[in-house]
Amino acid sequence: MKRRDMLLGMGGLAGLAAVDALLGRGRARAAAPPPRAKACILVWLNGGPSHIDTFDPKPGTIAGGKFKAIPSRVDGLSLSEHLPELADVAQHLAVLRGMTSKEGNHDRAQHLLHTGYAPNPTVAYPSLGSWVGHELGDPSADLPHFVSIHGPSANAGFLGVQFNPYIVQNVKQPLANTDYAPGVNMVRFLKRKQALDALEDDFARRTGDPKVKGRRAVYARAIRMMYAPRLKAFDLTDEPEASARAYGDSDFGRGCLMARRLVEGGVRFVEVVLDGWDTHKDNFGRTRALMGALDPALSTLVKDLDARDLLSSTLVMCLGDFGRTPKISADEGRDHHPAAWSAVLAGGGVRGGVVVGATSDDGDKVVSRPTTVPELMATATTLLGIDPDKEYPTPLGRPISITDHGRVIAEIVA
Amino acid sequence: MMRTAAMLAGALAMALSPGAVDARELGAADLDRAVAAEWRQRHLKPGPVTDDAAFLRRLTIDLTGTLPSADAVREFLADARKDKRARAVDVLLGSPAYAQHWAGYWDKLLMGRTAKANPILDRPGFVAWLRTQVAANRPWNQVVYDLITATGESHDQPATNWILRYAANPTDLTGKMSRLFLGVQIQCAQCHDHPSEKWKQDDFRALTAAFARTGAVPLEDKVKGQRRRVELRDQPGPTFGGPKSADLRLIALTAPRALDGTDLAHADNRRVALAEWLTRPANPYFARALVNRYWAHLVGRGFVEPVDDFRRSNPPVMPALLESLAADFTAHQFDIQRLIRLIVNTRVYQLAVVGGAEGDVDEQLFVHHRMRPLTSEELYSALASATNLENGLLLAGLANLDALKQQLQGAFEFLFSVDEEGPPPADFAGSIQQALLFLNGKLVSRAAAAVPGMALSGILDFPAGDEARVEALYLRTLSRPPTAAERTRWVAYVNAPRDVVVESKKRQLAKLPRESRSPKKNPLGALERAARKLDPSEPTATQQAYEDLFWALLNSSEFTFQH
Repeated sequence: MKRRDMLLGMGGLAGLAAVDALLGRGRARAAAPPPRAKACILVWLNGGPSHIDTFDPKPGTIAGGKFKAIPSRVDGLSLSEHLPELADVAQHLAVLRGMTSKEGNHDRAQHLLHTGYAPNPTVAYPSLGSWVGHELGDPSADLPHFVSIHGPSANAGFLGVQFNPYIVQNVKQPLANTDYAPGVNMVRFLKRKQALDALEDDFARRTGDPKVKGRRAVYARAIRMMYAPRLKAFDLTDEPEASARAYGDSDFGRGCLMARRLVEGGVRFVEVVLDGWDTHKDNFGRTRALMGALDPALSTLVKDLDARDLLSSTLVMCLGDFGRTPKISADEGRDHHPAAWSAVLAGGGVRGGVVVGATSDDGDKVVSRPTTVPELMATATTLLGIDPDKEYPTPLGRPISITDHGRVIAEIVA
Repeated sequence: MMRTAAMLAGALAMALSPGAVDARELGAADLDRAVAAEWRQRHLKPGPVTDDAAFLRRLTIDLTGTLPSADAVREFLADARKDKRARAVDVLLGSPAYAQHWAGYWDKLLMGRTAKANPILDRPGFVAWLRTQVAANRPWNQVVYDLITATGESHDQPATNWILRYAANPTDLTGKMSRLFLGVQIQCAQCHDHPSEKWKQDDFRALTAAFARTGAVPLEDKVKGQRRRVELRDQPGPTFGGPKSADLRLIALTAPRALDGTDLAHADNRRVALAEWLTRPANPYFARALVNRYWAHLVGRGFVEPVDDFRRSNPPVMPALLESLAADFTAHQFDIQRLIRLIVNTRVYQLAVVGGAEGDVDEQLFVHHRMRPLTSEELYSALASATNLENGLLLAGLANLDALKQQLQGAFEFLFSVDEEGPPPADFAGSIQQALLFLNGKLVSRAAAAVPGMALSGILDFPAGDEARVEALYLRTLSRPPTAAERTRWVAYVNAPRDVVVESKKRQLAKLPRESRSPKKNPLGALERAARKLDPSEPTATQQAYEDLFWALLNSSEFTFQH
């Protein structure tokens, strides 16, 4: 039993205060900094990218593999030769090279990185996107608070289904069923809705189950979305050919473009997934191809947000499950490596042109300024104006803080 | 509590002692007594028992994955016999739909939700094999024995498909095997030791080593795009652990050992040794895992949650009850139908739904039945059954119904399931897309329409009046007759004056993207066209009012939840 739990068990609120005193993080902290970011775009590199082959190159070593390193606009920040366009916007980037975690299994790591907590069967932790929707989302907004492009991403856990992401499975057809069914017009739709409401009222009364309420809230959002004037944010055909091209001719690039449009439309959290980084075989061929999609899309996203004066209010984060081993297998693969990996942040109050942390010569271990997932989460929420230590009770009454007691990574805050 | 424990221990001892005549067989009433004793001790009051209609609906969905027919509901409600609930259980357990549903359940768990084409597998053959096992109520230990030890080619030895699925990935196979058949998440020990947990990395390696002599041997050269014949068989030496992976090499060098330390290397065939250890009556994990899984599926919550995560730091509720159920299951030759019969005949299973927070004490201790959203398969079946959808598709001249069914179900899968394997978590089953699909999607809209061959068209042809029609819709969708108030409300609704909405046929067709105009790609487009040909008459206001009521019923929580 952890000391905190023991004290909680003993003394309730008094115990809680005692813990805070013990841990030196009392409630009376300095006034929270003003929010810097209004929205967040998470670029999720699914499967766990090789840090050594992307943001933490080790040229001239065996572990360094096949790729050369190139300098960027920032002294001391070199990147893989296959990320030239990102190197060219490095003045906007903060690179955390000392990320370290303990979850080496995809499911567990994806849970950790999306919710900030390791999985625990007794708590359904909400994902960061769901927290952002919960804390910042305008309940009357007509677009979803949280959109996942190519996801499924992670769900809202105990916050309830209404904070789950809206999933765009195919960027070319992002909106299914937002128009009336054949033979239905507004008058008829309202008649249908009226009948449905009567049925739902009765059933909610009869069962008293909160699940009915949650489902009705989702229906209400779905209907609001049908009439949303900003629904065009999902429609890429509105974009000039040239801007679409700059993001690269890939579905991931189109996803990043859609993310920018959604943020402009008021969506608070967008996740864009680039899948395929689990390179147990042919690491170099596959990682190179993936960087071919990542480089133009992410760099253009940063430039495009900047050009529209949105970068300062939009936090961009790019990361994946974990890093990959320095050791290269006979199949030219690299395996899972949670001990050391990189995360890249930009915009939303992040100081650009900064490298924090470093790994050993072979990329195996973090040797200076390690940073953890709770620290990353505390930084992201703080920049978004959300108190990372704010607690909510789970349905069982157990208090859970939005993030897992990490400190803000001050070096990357502008 | 002491008395309950003693009573259960007694029942358990009797069940276990070989040759003991079943003077005190475990029955549903024993389970109820044990649960009630726990409730009394904790000062918990159970809710009321559910009414007949709700019981039949719940039971039919749980045992067969679909709704009872309107006739079945009527007959059940009219049946005056005292034991009609137990009789219904027996009828459903003997139905082909039971075998179909549970074969599908195990197929999803064993083979995964996404039907990614794997040229070495024969998935239809595997499902058919499962169906045979379930229909024959083959003892669970024998089914698992076959899955673990199967050898040969996928199409003539269907049980091989499960291990063949993991041919390139013995660690995943071990993780899955342990979760499904032992209820132990040994895969958490794959990467590192957790100080507080019992299982260490070495336990994981030793268990995986049971598969280190098993391999998929190609019987012909790889030809692109064709099924590749392979044979699952055991070899004298290691089948993995080449220079590629240090982890696998270490596993191949580890002596195979079961979780309780039993040596698995002594036999000629390690898989046989593993299967024998796994399924022997003295293995405490095996029966417990299955019993907990079925209890959770039926009652709404397991003794242990998640159902496959037994460990020291995640203790079960009512452990004595779990143990006595497991002992009974073992003593009765791992008879799954007996287990199901025991559970669904309890008062605990038959409690009415009462609201409350997810995971609260009441829920943990089974004081109320908790609703859950229907799974994608159940919801599709319910929709098809309520609307007679497939009959309409047949009448529309669509030849390959199975392929269409798969496509339609596929659209549901994406929206309703995120978990690769196993049933979707309850809290994901409620997305905006899902709501939009039901609100505006063609499937629901057309299924609720008065299309010849489908439910509403038959109901509108009733010579009887609106009350009978409303009742027929209720029986089809909600599996109960409407209350007097509901009857009155909906008769007024369908008779209220309204304008007919005329669908612009050209506009609708033009909106379909080109590729989806072919009937192959868009079964519903084909249904629409066929419907127009079959029924060129213009819709009436009453017909549209009924369509709207039917649509609302299909969109309702009462329809889309199991309760």
